[in-house]
Amino acid sequence: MEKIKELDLPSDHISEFGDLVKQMHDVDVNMCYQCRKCTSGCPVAEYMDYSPTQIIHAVRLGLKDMVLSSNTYWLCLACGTCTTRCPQETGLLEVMDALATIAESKGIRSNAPEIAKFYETGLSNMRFFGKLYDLGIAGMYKLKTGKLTQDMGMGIKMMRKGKLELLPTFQNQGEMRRIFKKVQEVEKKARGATDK
Amino acid sequence: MKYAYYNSCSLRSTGREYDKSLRAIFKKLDIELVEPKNWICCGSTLAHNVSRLLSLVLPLQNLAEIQKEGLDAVVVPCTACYSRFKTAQYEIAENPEMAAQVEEVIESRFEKKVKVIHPLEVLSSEPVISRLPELVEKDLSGLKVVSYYGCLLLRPPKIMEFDICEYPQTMDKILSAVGIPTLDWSHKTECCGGSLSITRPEIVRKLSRDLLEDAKAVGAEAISVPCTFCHLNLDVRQEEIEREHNVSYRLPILYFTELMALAMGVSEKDLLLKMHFVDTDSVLQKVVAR
Ligand code: SF4
Ligand code: SF4
Repeated sequence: MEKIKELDLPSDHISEFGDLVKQMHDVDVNMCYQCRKCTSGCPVAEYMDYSPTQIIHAVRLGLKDMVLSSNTYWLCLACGTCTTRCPQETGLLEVMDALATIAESKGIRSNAPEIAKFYETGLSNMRFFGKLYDLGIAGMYKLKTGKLTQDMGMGIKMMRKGKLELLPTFQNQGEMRRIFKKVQEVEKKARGATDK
Repeated sequence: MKYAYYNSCSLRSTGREYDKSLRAIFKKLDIELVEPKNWICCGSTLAHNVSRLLSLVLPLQNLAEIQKEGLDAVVVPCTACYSRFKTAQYEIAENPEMAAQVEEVIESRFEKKVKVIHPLEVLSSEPVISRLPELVEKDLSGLKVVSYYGCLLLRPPKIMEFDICEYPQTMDKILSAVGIPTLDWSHKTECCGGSLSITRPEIVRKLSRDLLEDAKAVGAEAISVPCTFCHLNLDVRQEEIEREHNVSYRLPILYFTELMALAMGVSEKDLLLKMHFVDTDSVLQKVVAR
C-alpha cells in the first residue's frame, strides 16, 4: 500500500502557509488528526469543493493554491459546529476566517465571487453609514452581481411590511470611518514588525 | 435593575418586532434599558471575514462607550452581535498582542470588563424567573411551541458559555414559566443557513426546510426564536420553501419575547405581529383569558 503523505511529516511539521494561518489567528492546524468530526456536523459540507477536514489538512501540507481557489471558506456559515466538536480544539472557525482574510487581501474570488461581493458591499455600507443599511446593501449587491430579479418580490413585500428602512440614516459614521482607517494603519504596522 | 441596551442594526429594521416586544416585557419587569448614544455597528457576520482586528475593534469600541457611560452590563438581543461581543472579549483576554492593537485603535483601555448578556440570560436568572409566573395574564397553554436556539448563541461553548450547547433548555424554561409548554425536537441547535440568506438562498432554503419539517413532525404550531437571522430565514422565506417543495407548513415564527409578551397580557396592538410574513392569527386564537 502506498504511504499516506502525512505520515512522512514529522509531528511538529507546519508548512509556511499553515504558519501564516497560525500567526493570523492563533490556530495550530498541526493538531488535526483527521477524525472528520467537523465535516460530519458541518451543515454546508455537501456544497463545499473540499470538506473542512480536507481543508485543514491541505493547509497543513501548504497546498495554498488548492485551498484558496476552493469555495469552502466562503461557504462557511461560521456556525461553530466544527470547532465545538473537534476533539483536538483545532479551531476551524478561525482557519476559515484566516483564509477569507487572505483571499480578500489578494483579491481572490475563486468559486464564490458573489459571497466576496456581498462582504465588500456590506462593509463599505457599514463604513459609510456607521451601521448596516439593509436595503442599500441588498440593492448594491444585486446591481453588482446582476441578480436584480432574484428576491425582488420578497424585497418589495419586506418594504411594505416595514422591515426595511427606505431611507438610510447615519449612526456615528465619523467614528466608524476613523476606526476603519486606524485599523488599516495598525495592521500595516504589525505586518511590518513581523516581516522583519 | 438597569442595563445598557445594544439595540443593533437588525433590531431597527428586519427585527423591529423583537425590539418592540422585548421592551414591553422588560418594562413589565421594571428593568431599565439605556441605549448608548455613540453606538456603531459591531461588524456583524461581515467584519471577521476580512480583518481580525476590525472584528475585535467594532464590538469593543461599543463596550468602551458603555463603560464611559458608567454602566457595567449590556443586554444584546441580536445573536450575531452577542457572539461578536463575546468573541472579542475572549480573544483580547487570550492574546495580549491583539489587545494592545485594539486599545491603540479605540484609544481607551479596559479597566473593568463590561458584562455581555443575552435577554434569555436576564430572564432565566433569579430573581426574574421566579417573578414571571405572577406576571402572566393570558393562558397560552393550548399552544404547542418548539424553541429554536440556532448557532451563534451557543457555539463555540468555550467562548459563549451559554447553557449546554448541544441541548439547551434556557428558552424552554422561560416559556414554561409564563405558561407556554414546549415540545422536544431534534433541530434545536441546527443552523438555518444564517448569513448565506442573500448570496445562496438555495442553501438556506434547504437548511431551513429541514428545521420546519422537524418542527411540524413533532406537532409544533409555532417556533420560538432568539435571533433575527433565524427569523428572516424561517419566516420571510417560508412561503418560498413551501412553493419549492409543494408543501404547506404555515408555521408562525415568533420571537420568544413576543410569546412572553402575549402571555403577560401585552395587547396585540402594542406588538408588531403584522410585520410577520407567516400569519400569526393561529397563535392569537390560542391566547385565552385566564
Ligand atoms: S474534528 Fe478536529 S481533529 Fe477531527 S478532522 Fe476536524 S479539525 Fe481535525
Ligand atoms: S463553522 Fe463553517 S466549517 Fe464549521 S461546521 Fe459551521 S459551516 Fe461548517
